[in-house]
Amino acid sequence: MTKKKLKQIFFPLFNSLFFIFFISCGFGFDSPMSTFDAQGPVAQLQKDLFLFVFWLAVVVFFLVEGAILYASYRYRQKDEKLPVQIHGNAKLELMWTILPSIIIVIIAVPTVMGIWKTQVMPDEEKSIIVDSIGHQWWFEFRYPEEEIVTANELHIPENKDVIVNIESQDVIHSFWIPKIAGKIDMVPNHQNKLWIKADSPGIYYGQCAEFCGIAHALMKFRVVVHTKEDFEEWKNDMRTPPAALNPGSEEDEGRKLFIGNCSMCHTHDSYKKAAYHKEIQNQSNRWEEWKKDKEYSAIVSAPNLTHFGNRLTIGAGLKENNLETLSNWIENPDNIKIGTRMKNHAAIYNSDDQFLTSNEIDQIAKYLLSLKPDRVSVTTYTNK
Amino acid sequence: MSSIAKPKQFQLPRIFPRPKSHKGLWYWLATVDHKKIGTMYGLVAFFWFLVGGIEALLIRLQLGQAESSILSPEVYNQMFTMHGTTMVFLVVMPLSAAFFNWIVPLQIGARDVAFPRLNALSLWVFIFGTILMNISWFVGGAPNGGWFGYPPNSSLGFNPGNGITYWVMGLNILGVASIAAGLNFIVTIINMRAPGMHMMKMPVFTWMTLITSVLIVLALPILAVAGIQLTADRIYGTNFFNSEAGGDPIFWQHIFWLFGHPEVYILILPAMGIVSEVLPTFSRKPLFGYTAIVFAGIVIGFMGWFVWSHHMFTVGLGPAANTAFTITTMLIAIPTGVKIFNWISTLWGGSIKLNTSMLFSIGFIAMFTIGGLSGVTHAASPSDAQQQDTYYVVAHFHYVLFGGSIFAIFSGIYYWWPKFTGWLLDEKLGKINFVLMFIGFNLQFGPMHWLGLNGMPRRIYTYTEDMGWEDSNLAATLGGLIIAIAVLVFLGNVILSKRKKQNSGGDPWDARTLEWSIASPPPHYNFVEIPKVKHIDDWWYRKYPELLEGNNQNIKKQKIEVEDSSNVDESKIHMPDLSYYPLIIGVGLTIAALGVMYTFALVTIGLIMVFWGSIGWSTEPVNEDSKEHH
Repeated sequence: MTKKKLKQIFFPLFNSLFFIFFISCGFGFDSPMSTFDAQGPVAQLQKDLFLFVFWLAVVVFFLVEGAILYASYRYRQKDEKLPVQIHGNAKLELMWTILPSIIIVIIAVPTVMGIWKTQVMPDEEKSIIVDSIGHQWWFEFRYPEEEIVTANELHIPENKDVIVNIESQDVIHSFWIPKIAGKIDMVPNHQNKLWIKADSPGIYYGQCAEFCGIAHALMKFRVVVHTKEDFEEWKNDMRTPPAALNPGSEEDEGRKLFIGNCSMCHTHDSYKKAAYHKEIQNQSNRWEEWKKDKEYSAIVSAPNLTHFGNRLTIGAGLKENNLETLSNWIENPDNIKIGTRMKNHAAIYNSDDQFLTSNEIDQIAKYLLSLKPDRVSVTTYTNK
Repeated sequence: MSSIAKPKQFQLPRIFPRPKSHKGLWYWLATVDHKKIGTMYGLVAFFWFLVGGIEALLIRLQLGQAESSILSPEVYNQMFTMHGTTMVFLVVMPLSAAFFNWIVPLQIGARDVAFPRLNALSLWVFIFGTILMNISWFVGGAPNGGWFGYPPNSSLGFNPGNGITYWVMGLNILGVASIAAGLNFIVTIINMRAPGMHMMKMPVFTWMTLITSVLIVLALPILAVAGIQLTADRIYGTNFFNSEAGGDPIFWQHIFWLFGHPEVYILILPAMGIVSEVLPTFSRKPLFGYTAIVFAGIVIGFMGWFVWSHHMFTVGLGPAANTAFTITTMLIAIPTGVKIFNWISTLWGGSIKLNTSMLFSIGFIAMFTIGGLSGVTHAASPSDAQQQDTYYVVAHFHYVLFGGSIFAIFSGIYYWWPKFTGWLLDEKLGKINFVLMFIGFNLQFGPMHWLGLNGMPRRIYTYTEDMGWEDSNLAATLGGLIIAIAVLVFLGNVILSKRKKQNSGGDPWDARTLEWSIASPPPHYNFVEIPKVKHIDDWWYRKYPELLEGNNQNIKKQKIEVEDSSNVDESKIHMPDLSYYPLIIGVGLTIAALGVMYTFALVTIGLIMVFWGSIGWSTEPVNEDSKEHH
């Protein structure tokens, strides 16, 4: 083959590789889900281990690919003579069996240490315990020690070990906060545990990572990491009732509509004493109801809406929580998220005589946005 | 012979006459010729390759932009489920089977496979299985549970409708085809080698076929068990995977991946066999470390059974299990590395002819290496906790299965095409084909590493702009379009080259193994005389006998022609007759499978056909009387 022909083949190949390299590098590390931007010891360990293996792999990559390119070019056919016929070389072959074995050992040691470091749970006494339950397609969060329950928004303090007990009510989901810790699956009837710890306050993204049905792409949550003081404020918030509403106000009308149409599935007053255990029982009852008649059950499991006005997002991390998005959701959840049990089961969408007018929808939305603790809260996360 | 009176044997009365002619549709439906069967495997699998490719393109178009709505979420889920299932079971496995069928009997100097009618059965069951699975598109929706079909999401309670049942029944039917073919090739390779070809003189492609066949025979029954359990859960209300009633969805994951990981090697070992043929031929040098490559293949096939839980690192099996499977998984890198180094050493010091087939094989080593290295990064299970179920994994296994298997399959197509047809594919178009595919492939799957590390989960039909994934996805989509053009160039190459019909002769590449010692395309009996084998690469040493004397300088090629089959008395060569019973069993099985979903009457009809086919088959003489008196 002539040099010209070689150029015709190899240049596009090199060019494309460089092109891809530059494209990849230009895209930056700034995704809110980037695993490179580790913000906790678990994610940090996972990232460090990845980079350790990665750089070793890069060395091997250049050696192997370099040898392939060099050999293909250097030994290209020049004449019709047969090259020297070599059948093998025991020493060489032994060498490239042993060398990779050594590399594997070098990788295996920190890997195995990493497995035990990340998967052995910290002392429960000194940790915050959270139960997270996966539902199609939202996340429930329970704080058994604090008797607080919420949904789609995990609140934790900075620099403190948190043990998340992980389970699913229906299908398999996966619990993942890329910047804080790698994922672990949420499996029905299996109790998994994940250790997380966040370095500094902020809002982090979580998302379901195991395919779980039609709205799998739309099952997200936020993690709000507080300072220690703010976390105490948040806990107090969650135990404080909202302010009383003026009778006859739009919010008050909305409250009546909510009680009549929504409250069978959505609890919104878990700030009350002893509400925690009742809510757990309610969720379990709703689940049993739905299982009895998956098509027409009037009652389904649904996210707890206590102090909904303080939530950052609606629809499990999908849209900013404000009057517009919320009314849009109540009007028809399909506008924002396909496949919800709310759309498929709630009478307001499925029964001819219970449709809501747009005015009524507005009132419900205003009521929900008014659900905020009636105290001066100093926490900085709250929804504006 | 004819003087000895044979006892009259029972024979099922025929409804249709046994076909005799070697032409026309009737012949193709009843053929037992391994080459014809290989051709049909190839054509059908290539058709599904196009279908699976279109599915992939639709997925890519949907993801090319944030929040696009080209596909509805439901159709998107069906699309990626069927893309995965199609590419694994309807494309790479049967394309490998096409090569097994065509090449293995020729490489070992046999006239056909050990059980020619069983071979035809595999083909027909495969073809009808593919149709069965794809009928689902038209009767209420294709399977939508992912190619791994995890319950409870794939159970009836969360997934009513017949899509998943079609998927399971289709896989079970395809499993019958694969297991039968696997057994057939094991027996063929062990029993039908030409005299003198002992195991360590077998071509490497045949070796890899043998290892793959053993894996198929051991692994596919596991999938069949899982499939039957899921079907029973869905149709008869059993609770194998229902945690509400004491079953366990994790149980499915263990069985599925106990099949699923050996399956990965079922997909890649034939590819390794192909490049192990192509690299020595176009380097004009023996394969470096034949023994090491064969044993590395055996070790990979064996160790493939001890790594399944690395697909389940995030299931919560605990640190002890994760440690064990991390270590076994990393160990597989060693035999794989041995192969890669031996292939490079085959190139080293050779006289390399960079034609299309060779480029694809070299591309295979280059891309497979990337897939192997990214594999090590998530064998490290703590870092896998970040990568599992993200696009990083999608990138990884496409580097193995596309950059690996598909590149090798294209290499094999360009390499053996003249053997299949007697004419050559155009080299210029071939190189365009390769360059486009190489660029498109890397542009599509390279950025996916990045996407995964930037947090993009798999199997999501949409994402928002603020996630920062849009540019990489757009690049990947462009890459997909370039691959599509590359495939079109290949099809154009076939059409244009067929018009030119540039005669290849029997041995266009100055190749090494027995299939090149006969005419192209080979006569239906393959070898006029069964060769007597003395060496690995016997044909090569027949052409270059001086090499055997230890000579290494100025070797001259002997003028040896490929076997001339123009003046052969075919009646002296004993070949099996045609049979339509395999086709009937294939149709019957498929009808019965359909009946499981709809009505028991269809099951009955299907089973009657299977019964009819089996009795007819087993009482049918291999050769009809007319041929007996010669």
